[in-house]
Amino acid sequence: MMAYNSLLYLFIFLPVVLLAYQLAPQSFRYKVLLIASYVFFLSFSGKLLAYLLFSTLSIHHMGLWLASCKKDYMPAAYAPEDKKAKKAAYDSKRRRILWLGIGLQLSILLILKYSGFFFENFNLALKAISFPRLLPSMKFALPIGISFYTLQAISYLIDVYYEKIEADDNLGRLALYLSFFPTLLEGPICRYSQTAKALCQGKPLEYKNLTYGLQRIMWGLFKKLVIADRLNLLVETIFDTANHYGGIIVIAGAVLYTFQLYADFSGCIDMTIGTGEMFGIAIPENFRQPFFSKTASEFWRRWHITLGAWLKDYIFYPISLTKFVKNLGKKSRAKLGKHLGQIISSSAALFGVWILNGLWHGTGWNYIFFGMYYFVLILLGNLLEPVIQRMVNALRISRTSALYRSFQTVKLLVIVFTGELFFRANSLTAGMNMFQSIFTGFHWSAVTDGSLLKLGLSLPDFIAVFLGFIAVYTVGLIHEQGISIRDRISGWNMFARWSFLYAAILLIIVLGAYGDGYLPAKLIYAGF
Amino acid sequence: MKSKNRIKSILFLTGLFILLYITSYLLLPYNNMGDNLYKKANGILKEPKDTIDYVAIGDSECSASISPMEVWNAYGYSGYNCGVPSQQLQDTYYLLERLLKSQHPNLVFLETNAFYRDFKYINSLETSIEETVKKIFPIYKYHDNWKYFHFYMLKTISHKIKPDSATVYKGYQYSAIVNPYKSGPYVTETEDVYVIDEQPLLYLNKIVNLCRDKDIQLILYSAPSPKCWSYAKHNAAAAFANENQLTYIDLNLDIDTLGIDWAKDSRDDGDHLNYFGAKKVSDYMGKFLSEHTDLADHRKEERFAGWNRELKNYLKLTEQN
Repeated sequence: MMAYNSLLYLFIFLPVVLLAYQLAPQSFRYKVLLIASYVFFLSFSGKLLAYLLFSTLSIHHMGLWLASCKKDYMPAAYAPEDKKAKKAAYDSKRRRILWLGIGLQLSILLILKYSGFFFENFNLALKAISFPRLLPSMKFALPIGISFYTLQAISYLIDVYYEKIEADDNLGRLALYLSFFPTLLEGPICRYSQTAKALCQGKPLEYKNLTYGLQRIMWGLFKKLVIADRLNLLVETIFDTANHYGGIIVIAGAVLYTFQLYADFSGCIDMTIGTGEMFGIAIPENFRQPFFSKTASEFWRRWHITLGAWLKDYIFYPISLTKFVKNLGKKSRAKLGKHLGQIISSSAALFGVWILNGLWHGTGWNYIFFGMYYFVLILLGNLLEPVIQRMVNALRISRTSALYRSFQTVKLLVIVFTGELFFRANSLTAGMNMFQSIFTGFHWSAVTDGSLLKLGLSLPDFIAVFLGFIAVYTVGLIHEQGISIRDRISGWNMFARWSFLYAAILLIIVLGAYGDGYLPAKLIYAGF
Repeated sequence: MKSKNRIKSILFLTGLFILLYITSYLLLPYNNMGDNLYKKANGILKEPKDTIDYVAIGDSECSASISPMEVWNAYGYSGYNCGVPSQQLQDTYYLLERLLKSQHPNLVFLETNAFYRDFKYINSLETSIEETVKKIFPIYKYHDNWKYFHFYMLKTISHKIKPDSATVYKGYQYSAIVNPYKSGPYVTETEDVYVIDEQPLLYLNKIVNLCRDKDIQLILYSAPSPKCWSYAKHNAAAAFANENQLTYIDLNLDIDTLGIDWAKDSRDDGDHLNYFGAKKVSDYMGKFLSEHTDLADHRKEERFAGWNRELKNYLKLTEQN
């Protein structure tokens, strides 16, 4: 297995691929990337490669089938009385192909990832009415990246259907788009229109791309190794033996898990984007300083951006445009006014987005709860906005004042930490118990009696994590102001630049949580 | 890439390597606690010919669970722990074959965790790369010592402590770190069998045959480890032992007799034992040897005087923690 932070990936796999890419003729370069991607996939999932192959072949075929329908459909050649019928038949055929294509992709995902969960819950429902279990227990090995490449495959097919892109007749190119190794483990979820062209261009390697890419990879490694993997020790202890703790320890677990998740996932995305950059391929950003947000919906526009955008484009809008929702909107606007009417009509689409967001992450009830938690919060936020505005006006509070913004930040952090507590909990019941224990088992003494230092992290560990936080916060602050740190560094003289890079490398090596005494920490999102 | 940039890259990397090499020396430990693990296992080759009564062999579960000096101290049997972290059974076999050229132990304790070690070539490759990097740049191995930096500096500079001889621990991997296992009882009886893969099984049979040929009693044992052990694994190891008429000691089933206290006896949340846990397992194994074999107590024998000298060092090192 070659996680992006492993020596095998960083010092053998990546340099070999870069070298082979550079030495290959330009037209062959995308094939080098494709071979590398399949080798990467094989190193994790072996024979499960069959699923990726099936997905790729079926999507390629469906795309071309949609394209061939368009070629066969010739409105100019039809008699005026036939035009309507021909158009209806054409639309219907294309819709059927689209649904068949999506159905195939979703079936694989549903069977491999969700059948066990649904069967188990069906059996539990039967048990509740004293009926014996009917369905067998199912557990399949999941190929890596299945949740990511399935979404990419579906978006490709829908984009071809709506003629935003043309169906790709080159199987190799499409295969590379679906399996490009830096994005395979944790995304981001790329659109065909964003990456496919650059993937196949075969641009030669450039010094600036290489150095910028390496710097981005280093930043990702710093977040992953110094913060996420060190926090892993403490977070695992708290969540795996949750019934031993309450109050401040559980709060610390939720807070630190949120930071661990951010450092782990965004660190991995930094490594992904950095790798893409080295090959001259721009991979879309997945995070934009989410902790600087003011509301839950803004947070989700800055966190896992590509998933949010995917759900918006392929779930929210299609649901919003259904006849049922349109009629509902019309009626509710007429009866309840513009604001309420809009909220009621958008709630169906919002529900679709959040239930799928929860389910996409995993098959536990805690993930469904997580999705519903944000659905309710965002809906409430939209609903109460006029009330809040009136209150703010009445109390003459400036919404841009530092005090109000601090209040918003604190409120958002509480929302996010609470959500992540349920997200990370081993089950929904465990999450509920942990949440309850914050209030029932609250003792200030946990701060002063050294309880926190007995959970797997020593004082030096906390110091390392704290230094990591400061670095991440400072970089976030600078990026928030639209400044490119790498551009600034490249403007320094060589002595300053090299000293900075040497210091950064040394910090990652020395402060990283790896090797003896640390359990190997997996990439968190690779599990989804 | 322009040649100017190529030269810059080479210069940068050269500078980095020199820096890593130099900084490595700031974090080197002052004794051999974290020394090269194969080097420790190979330490048996330095022992005088035919002076070892028993050998313990396997992966990290082995190297962390039996301390031969504890057995020597209580019973006077000479043993060596040849366990090597992450060792796969084919390496165990070759190591055993090599050490049997200079030693003829009466008994071999083979730890069972390696029966289930992943044989993916990719993992072996990753391990080899890591080991090579650790060898070239010790900073990669000892990086975590920044936490104790002042401690090492004081010890090495003010007292000028010389590294201890590798033989003090007789291959045992000493660690006094306490990271408790907290998830409660883990022994749940089942009829499931965790089948031993084809490749480890091949080498397991080779080890059995090698011991038979050399007239050595082979004993399988499972070190206490809630993280690694399962009853399904026990069933497979017990079936193999039964088929081959071998003794199998599963210490996981006997935690209470051993007196293992998971709040104190694990170094990493129940994956491996620390020194306090290993002491208990070593006492158990020593007692087993005294009850089931006719090994002689060598404590007063002149040719084992070195063992008594090393025992003093060992006690000093372990009592410091």
